[in-house]
Amino acid sequence: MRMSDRAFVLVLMLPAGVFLSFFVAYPLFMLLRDSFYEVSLFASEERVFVGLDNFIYALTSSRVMGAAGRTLNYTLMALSAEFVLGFGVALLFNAMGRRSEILRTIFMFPLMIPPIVAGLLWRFMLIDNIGIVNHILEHLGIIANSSDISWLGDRDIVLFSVALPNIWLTTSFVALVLYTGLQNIPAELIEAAKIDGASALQRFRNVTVPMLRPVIAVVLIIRGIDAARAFDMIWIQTEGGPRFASEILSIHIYRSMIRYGNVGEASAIATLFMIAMVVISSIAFFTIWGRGTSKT
Amino acid sequence: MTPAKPSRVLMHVIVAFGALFMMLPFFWMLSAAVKRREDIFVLPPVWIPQDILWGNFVEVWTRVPMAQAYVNSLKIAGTVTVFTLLTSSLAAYAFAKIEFPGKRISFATLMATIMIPSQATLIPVFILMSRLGWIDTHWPLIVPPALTNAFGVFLLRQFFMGVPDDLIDAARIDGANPIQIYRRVAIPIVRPALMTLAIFTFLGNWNAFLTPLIYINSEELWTVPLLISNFQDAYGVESEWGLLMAASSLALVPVLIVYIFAQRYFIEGVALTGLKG
Repeated sequence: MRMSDRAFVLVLMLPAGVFLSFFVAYPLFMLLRDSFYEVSLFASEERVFVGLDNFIYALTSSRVMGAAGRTLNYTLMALSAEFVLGFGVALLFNAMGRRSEILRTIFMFPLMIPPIVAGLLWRFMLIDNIGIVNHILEHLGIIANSSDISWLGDRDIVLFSVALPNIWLTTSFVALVLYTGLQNIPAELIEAAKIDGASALQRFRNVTVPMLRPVIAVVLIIRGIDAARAFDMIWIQTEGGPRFASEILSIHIYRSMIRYGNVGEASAIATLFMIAMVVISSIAFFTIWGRGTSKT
Repeated sequence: MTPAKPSRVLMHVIVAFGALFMMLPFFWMLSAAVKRREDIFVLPPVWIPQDILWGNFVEVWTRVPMAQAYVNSLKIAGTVTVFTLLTSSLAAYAFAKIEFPGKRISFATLMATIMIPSQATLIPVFILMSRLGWIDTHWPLIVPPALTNAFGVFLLRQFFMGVPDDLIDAARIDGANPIQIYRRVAIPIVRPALMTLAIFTFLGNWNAFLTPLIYINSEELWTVPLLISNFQDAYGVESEWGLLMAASSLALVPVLIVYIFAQRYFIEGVALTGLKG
């Protein structure tokens, strides 16, 4: 019994096709449609067409725009810390060569742990007065009193505090990917620059970074997208509080849909969020990747 | 080169210190899990308590439905992993080795789904699931991820492209049908990549929190992350940190097992993400 190639392709692609139609295309279509209606989660049959009202609400509401600003802030904070630390670690690993293997293994472990556990653990460590972090800071003389910093209670710094578990979990991802990228730069290239009399800093700026550019682009985009839609860690640490100070868009969308049942509003916000993410990551991709290829 | 340059020693010290720093939160978690309630916040902090108490671990099994949650999470993550390997490898094989109309556009679409935040599709998928009568069941946690894993398709496609066409042609001439070629010729070559995908899928689904949070109510259906979150809400945090840390430690056991036995595949997988993206 022989199967035609065409029938075979259909069989191969069937699960992916079902996935794309039911869990990607259909929901995206519904999302777009719902964003023009006033519709409640609890009575989704009764829908009223409201035109662009939901979008206008999203763009003018101080709560939504506040969440958007915090999303950007949170992402930039987590991403820059992860990138700087991760790049540093990758360079160290690279300089150490094969002997870094055991340390690499230890370093990678946080990457696998459940975000919910990471969030909870950091919440435990950041408790004011009695948390270990403040105790250590007091011990080192950085703060005078262990109640000086209220990590999760102070609206001015809570966004940074909820970024900490994220940084802890994923710096190792950045480090590992960049390390692999560094390993793939031909040694002759660095040697040639050395013979030409380039200093370590010049070699780094003119050989390493341009060669690494595509890898850097991928890392920044993957991590950026992931940080922008972070949910678990923030939810378990603060649920977006105190008074919305750590409420980023993912939390706002979840809350307005599941807790308040405002499907229309939540859909409009989610649509805008998605468009913004695609636009920002495309721009990032083409600037970082594009500059590298045009130079060489 | 001299074997022990001072800068080289310093480098090792810095990295070792960094690795230790990364592990400290784990030690603190374990330490709290084996302490008496009143000793958890004693200052100066005691890293290794004098008498190690296993009471918190016992209580986690008896006071909250940890055993049930464990079984649920293992069941969900395991089922999803098995099916993802099958479905993703089928699609990846088609994308890598067979010409068909709409191939480029469907691959590009699939890859673009990686960029969509899950919160965007959450609402319509939730309504779809409620029409199917799947709210408060495990189906919403199993079916969508089991159907396809875009990252998995991408990863396996890279490996399938390395399978020589000559090998496939030779098998065809020998009279093998397409399914036999896929099973006997292509799959054995990509086995390491399948292993990588299995680890990622298992961990990803073991760790998943947002979907259980949305779809599951009944206590007997809780997953481990959901249990930890609900447990925190229900018992009030202040006095129960020992129990929470014991529950968190238990959540890490499968992760640790996977890491010990398969970290090579895991690390390769992470490295590949950056290289071929």
